Amino acid sequence: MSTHNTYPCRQGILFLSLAAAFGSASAADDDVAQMIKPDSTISVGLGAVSGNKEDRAFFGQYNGMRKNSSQLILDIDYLRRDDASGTWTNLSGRNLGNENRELGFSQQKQGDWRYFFEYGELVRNYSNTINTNVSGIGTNNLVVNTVGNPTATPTPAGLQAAQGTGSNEDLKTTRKSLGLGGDKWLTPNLQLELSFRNEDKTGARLFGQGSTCTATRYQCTGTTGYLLLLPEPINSSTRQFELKLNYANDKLALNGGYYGTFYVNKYGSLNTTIATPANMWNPNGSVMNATVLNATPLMQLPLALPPDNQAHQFSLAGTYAITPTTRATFKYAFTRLTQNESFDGMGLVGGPRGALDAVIDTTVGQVGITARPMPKLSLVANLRYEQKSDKTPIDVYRDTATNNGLIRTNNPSSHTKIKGKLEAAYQLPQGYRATAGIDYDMRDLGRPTGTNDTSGQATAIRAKNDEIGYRAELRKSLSDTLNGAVSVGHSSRNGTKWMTATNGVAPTIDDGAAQALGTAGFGLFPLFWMDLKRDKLKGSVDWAPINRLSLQASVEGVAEHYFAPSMRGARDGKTTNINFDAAYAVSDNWKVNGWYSRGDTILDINGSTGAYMAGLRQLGHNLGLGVRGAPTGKLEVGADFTFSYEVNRTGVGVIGTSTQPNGLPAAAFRQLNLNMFGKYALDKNADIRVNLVHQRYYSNEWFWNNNGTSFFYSDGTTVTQKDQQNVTFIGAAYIYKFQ
Amino acid sequence: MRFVRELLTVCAVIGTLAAIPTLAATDAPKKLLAADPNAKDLILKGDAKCTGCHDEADEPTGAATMLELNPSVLAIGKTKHGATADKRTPTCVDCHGESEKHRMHKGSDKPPVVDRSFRKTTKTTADARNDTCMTCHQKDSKRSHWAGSMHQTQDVACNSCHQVHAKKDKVRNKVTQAEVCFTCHKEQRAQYQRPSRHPILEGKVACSDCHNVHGSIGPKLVKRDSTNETCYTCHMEKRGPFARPHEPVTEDCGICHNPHGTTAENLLKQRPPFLCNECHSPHGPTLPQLAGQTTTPTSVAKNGINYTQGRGCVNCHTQIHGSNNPARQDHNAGPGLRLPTPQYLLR
Repeated sequence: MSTHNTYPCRQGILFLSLAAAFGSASAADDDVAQMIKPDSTISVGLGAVSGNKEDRAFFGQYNGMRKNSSQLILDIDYLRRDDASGTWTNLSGRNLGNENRELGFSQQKQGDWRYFFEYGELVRNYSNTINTNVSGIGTNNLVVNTVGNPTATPTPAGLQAAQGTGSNEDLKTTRKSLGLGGDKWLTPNLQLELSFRNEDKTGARLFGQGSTCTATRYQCTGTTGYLLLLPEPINSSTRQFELKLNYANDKLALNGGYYGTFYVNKYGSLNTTIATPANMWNPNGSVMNATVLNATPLMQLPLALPPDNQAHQFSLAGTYAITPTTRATFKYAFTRLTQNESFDGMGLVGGPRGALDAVIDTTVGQVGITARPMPKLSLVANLRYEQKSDKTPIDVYRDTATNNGLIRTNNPSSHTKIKGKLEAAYQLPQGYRATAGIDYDMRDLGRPTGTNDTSGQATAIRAKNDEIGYRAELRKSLSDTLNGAVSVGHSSRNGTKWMTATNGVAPTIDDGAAQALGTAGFGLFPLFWMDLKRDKLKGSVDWAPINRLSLQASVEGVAEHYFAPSMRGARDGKTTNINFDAAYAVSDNWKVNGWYSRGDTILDINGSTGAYMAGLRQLGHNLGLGVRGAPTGKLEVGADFTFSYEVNRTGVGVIGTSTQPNGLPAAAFRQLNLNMFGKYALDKNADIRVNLVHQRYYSNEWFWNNNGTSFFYSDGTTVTQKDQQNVTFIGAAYIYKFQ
Repeated sequence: MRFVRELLTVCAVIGTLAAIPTLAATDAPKKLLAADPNAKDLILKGDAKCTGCHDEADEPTGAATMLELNPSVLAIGKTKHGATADKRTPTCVDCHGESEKHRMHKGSDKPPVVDRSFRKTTKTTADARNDTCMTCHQKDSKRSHWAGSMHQTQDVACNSCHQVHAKKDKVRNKVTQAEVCFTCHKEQRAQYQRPSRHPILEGKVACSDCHNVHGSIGPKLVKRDSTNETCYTCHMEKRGPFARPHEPVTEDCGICHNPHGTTAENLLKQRPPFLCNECHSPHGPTLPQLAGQTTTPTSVAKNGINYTQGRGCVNCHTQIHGSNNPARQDHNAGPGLRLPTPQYLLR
């Protein structure tokens, strides 16, 4: 038989067989490689948003779309690993097409060294619009021109008609940060870490000044008052430098380091020129003639801006395994904070010395132990000690020696704080776990070192407070799919006797005088010094009745009662939070989830003589629904819906002899977001993604406007926000994936 | 030539026989390759005892990837835990235990669970799971205070937040981190919907920018030793010290602010004048009022409208965080020195 005719057939069978064996093995290897090699992506696209900048005031606070109605979508996540050396290279960029871009580059040899560079921008657009004739915004020299013409229309109607006739200004702050750093394992147990970050902040934010002025107070020729909205210029840098040396062996991990922080402000004070002092507004629409009233010098006095400051911290912290079941943690830190910027250099005069020369030393020590003396018993103990020593020189800052013979100084304040915790947890039979704990919190401010700390500021002060709390929790794992917990807590805060002010000398401990101030109706004692009783109750359950469904619910309530020598001030407070969550996998291709939260906070306040009582209440409802699905093998879709509704009521009522109408309207806020996406796999290496976002925002806040009546500043400046803001965003991006 | 043909034919037969398992993989019951000493490691040294069964055929694709219904096993290869050049990289049994009963199980019913399981329904305690991770990760200085921390004592396991096998661990990405924290912290989830907030939802600030969830000596697990020091890392202009401080500011930013979200502007817990009146008596017998509510507005600065609207008390007491203005009040001096009154935080 001749083989000539059969050989090609055999060859064909041969090649097919080889291909079936080794070709399929090769394809399998490729599949595995794709599953275990790091991925990289680049996304490029465009986005567009509806409305104008007033419509997008709330939506565009932080996403760069307040003013820009379109944006370039550009993201990159390049990740490469050299398998031979274990070296990673990462280049990541997010939002590169808008004003909130981030870019980072790093390389790391795992277990050996790492270095990184980061650059980031963040713009915060203030969501209200200022209508004003103030010029020089963003600098520390502002010129105030009046909006409208009070002399021509000196009536409430004239004042309202002037609304909005100035220039619209949108304030924003821009942060640009640059960070770099790295770490290196010097030995298998010793690592060095270094990092530096600089953030420059520029822009302007709400600021201003106001005062009453009378013949005896600040030497006006008559009685008047004024308010000015003067945007604070921001041009500062924040620098953080950190160096750490870390040591670790089987039992001990120790880290010691230096953390230095520096704040530098280009501006020391804000200077104001009133361009039209004779033609300003009173709140009732009449003319305020600051020239005749001699109020102009008061208005034009400089306002201090934040001074440069520096802090240096040295610390040592770590953990030590005393035994396999007992571990200690500890930390010691010393920080020196200084501020010695020249007052003259800041443009501020009239002080008793050239600079504050503030020095504050803070020492913090912490030690903790966790132990498991028996298999079912866990113990935790922790103690934290903080000592703040304010070494700022005392000088006469309040009044000169010639002022009625009173000498009042600044008041450097030091303190000692101690916080402690003891906790025990025991595994009981049948899946129960009981935990009990005691918490202690002490704050000792001591007696003030300066003079007359409280005059005109607070009714009375206290040297020391301490709070002790008890809590217990019972947790039960009812089954593999059902778990629950209930916890209760009670704490009470007390303090030393109240101290009252006496003119010209240091405050004295005079509980009787404080009591008298309270019952006479003038006294309102500071909330964070008052005696307090607090009760907490919380319950939660986590249940997965079937494999594809999970449910969670929790309820929490806190009640607080405040006590002081006076009946005035905060009395009772209450907070409740209720939450429900559910997630369900409808099929292998679809999943849905939903959640609901309700938060309710109430605080009763009893104002002092002739003022008000208030039952402050913040009630919020939040709802979320989500769906994810894959209708086909190449298409993924999803949608998230959230709804938020919050109402703030003041419950203000009249007491005493007030003759003004009472009551403030409730302020409501409502937000609805619908966020949808679809992603289609064009091929193995490319997807196309489309996003659609619709937001509806409503607010009837009365900060700046009440039912069409604007709140005005003395120069006619007003602030507005559109009550109803509806926005739709659509974006599409091409995503290229590679390894 | 004849010899070559015969040799190639033998190779073809062997190759065809070798291809049968690959081609018929979807039809034949899965064989236990764990017992096969020649099984090949897929990612990590020695992983063949596990990846013999948990191989590429088990990997989720398409919808299952997005829906996270079946976690990926092999995707760990894309992460730091898959870097074999690093001699410290653990293999499967270093985390999950030798699990002989699981590996040697024969039969078509469900095998026994591994020695250390990290699934939601696991019977492995949180401490046991955490000890596994801490075998390597205790060295990190950021975890020095894990023992005794709030998450540790509340039985939060490392895998409650971290997805070790996933190619991208959600909690380590600023954009998706909050979603993981909200699993337990529902109150904060609701607060972030409010109009005054940090840019958490935009992924510009993450929970971990303020909190060290692995343990800290500060309250509420704040990153630095106190609430204020944490806030000052971004808001250092509030640190002072000032010639005229405002004591609650130096005490605790949280006395006035809720950093998670508020309806009042500037993250204030309560709107003026009510916030200020928690510590300070109101200015005489005046009620909080709004423009348009009263028929007799006054020209005096200290009136109910000015306390309530605009910036409230801060309309006048603008230096609410403290002022470094040293100027002293002197009723008897000449212009320039007589009027400043900065001691009431007015300028």
